[in-house]
Amino acid sequence: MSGYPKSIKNVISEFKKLPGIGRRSAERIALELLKRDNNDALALSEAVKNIVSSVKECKVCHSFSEGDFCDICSSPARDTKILCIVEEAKEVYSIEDTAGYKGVYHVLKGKISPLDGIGPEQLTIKYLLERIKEKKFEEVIIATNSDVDGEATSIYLAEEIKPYGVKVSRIAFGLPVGGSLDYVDRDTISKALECRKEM
Amino acid sequence: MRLKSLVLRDFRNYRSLDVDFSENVNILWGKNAQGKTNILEAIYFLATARSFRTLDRRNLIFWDKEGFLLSGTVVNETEKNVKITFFKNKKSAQINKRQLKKLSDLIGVLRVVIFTPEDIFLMKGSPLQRRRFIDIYLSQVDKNYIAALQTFKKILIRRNSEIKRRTGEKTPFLWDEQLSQHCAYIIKRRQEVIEELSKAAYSYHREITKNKERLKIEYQPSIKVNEPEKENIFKYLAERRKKDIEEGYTARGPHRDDISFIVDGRDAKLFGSEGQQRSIALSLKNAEFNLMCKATGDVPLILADDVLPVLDMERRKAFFPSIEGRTQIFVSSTDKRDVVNIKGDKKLFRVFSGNINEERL
Ligand SMILES: Nc1ncnc2c1ncn2[C@@H]1O[C@H](COP(=O)(O)OP(=O)(O)OP(=O)(O)O)[C@@H](O)[C@H]1O
Ligand SMILES: [Mg+2]
Ligand SMILES: [Zn+2]
Repeated sequence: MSGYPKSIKNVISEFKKLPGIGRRSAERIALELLKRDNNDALALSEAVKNIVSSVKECKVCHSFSEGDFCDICSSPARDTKILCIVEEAKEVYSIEDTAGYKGVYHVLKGKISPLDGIGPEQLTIKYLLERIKEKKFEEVIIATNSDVDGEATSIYLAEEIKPYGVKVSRIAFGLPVGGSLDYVDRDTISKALECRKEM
Repeated sequence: MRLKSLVLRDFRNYRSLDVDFSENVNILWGKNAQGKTNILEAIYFLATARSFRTLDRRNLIFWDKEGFLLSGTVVNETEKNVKITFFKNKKSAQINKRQLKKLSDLIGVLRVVIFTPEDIFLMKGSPLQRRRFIDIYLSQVDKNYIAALQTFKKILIRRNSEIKRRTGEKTPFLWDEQLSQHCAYIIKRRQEVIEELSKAAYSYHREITKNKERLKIEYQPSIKVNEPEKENIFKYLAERRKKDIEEGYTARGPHRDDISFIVDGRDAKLFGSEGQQRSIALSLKNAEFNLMCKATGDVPLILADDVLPVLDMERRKAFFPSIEGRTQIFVSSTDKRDVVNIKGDKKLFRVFSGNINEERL
């Protein structure tokens, strides 16, 4: 890489900082951009510039937003009596893709993870509780992940939220659709049993 | 099950080895420091994803090389190829060329019971060594146990780190729900297995001591509850929270369990003679073998690393007759005369400086 002109070197080292991109990929992307029509490279730089200047955080749910409030929080069609709590903004979009959920969200921006020094104070829990106090939700669904940190976070949230007298539920974890019981580990089966529902 | 063949690349003192085994008796003999134990270590690693001699995998790499490769073909009802590589600090495992998510996912394809002079440390050594023995046994017969143990360790680290960082009375215990669930399974399985080991070892020990000694193996769980149920353990941990905070770590749990060996009412770890302790270790290993057969409906391989020299005359004479014909065995010895008379379909390998040569009998 040492031999490249400085401007190319800069681009390579910027790409290298991105997750999942090593030195060789960074180099390939940079050279590819040079090879292409100039518009491609400019479009990329424009797009990057745009996310920096226009993507903010929604003041209500802390998900991505281009204004003060995100599309979901500003939509009159959403059911504002149901709140779903997720770890990261990207999970809002995974749930939205299923088109089954009509309530609103709250993004924690992480989870309690002592090994990374992250406790409840580092998350958006303070705002969450303010929201719950004001908004009188009928149900709060905790949709943190099922790994050990996600579970611990869900227990913390449940304890904090219950005093407000709202119904708190945990997203169900269970068997993969189309899967057979034979191939599923004990933990998944016991979770699925815990989360069973009446028929 | 049988190990049909073994391939080593840059493993310990083997640059390159390809060997086909007898499905019955395999004798590795040669002078000291030639590579006999290294072969047994390789087989053990294929079965358990760890070494019985070192915790640091880097020690297994041929001096200044960057990694090793281990692969073996296991014949059961079907043939399976197990392959492990450790290269530039990255471990990877495959079964029949299919990449596994974790190294530990390969445990159970090949099962082994090992006899070595070090077995005496199951008596003399620390509780850690006894826990490791039980954990490796259970890992080989129960996939859920491996998962429970791994998750338990993850949770414990987090709980302890919160206690140490003094985050208050609350956050350290957010993990207790999950912790007690996994503890319950680990304790329950250990309890069951130790009870069965005790029964099997009792009769074997009666036999080798000519009805003189009564051996009892007892589980000493660190968490004392009537039934190892999640709710009981949760309560137990909750009652100890204050103490844990005072002491600065999680003082009770499967990570503090131990096992006692009682001979005629006395703890053999404290009062047993060297010879007695060796006999107990031998009874324990035999019990392990029987239990593994029963638990899996299949016969594990036996690895016997230079076992005779540490046994007294009588046990020495009885050792091979008690295992020959029961399964595929791998025996190492510096003295060919000790081992050539083992009964069965034999292959004799001369081990010399990181090479092995099959010899005619
Ligand atoms: N990482 C390594 N790379 C290369 N050689 C190694 C490595 N680790 C150990 N050795 C060599 O392997 C040899 C020991 O092998 P091993 O323990 O199998 O001996 P052995 O034949 O069982 O001897 P003994 O009869 O004394 O038990 C020693 O010569 C040692 O130097
Ligand atoms: Mg040796
Ligand atoms: Zn919003």
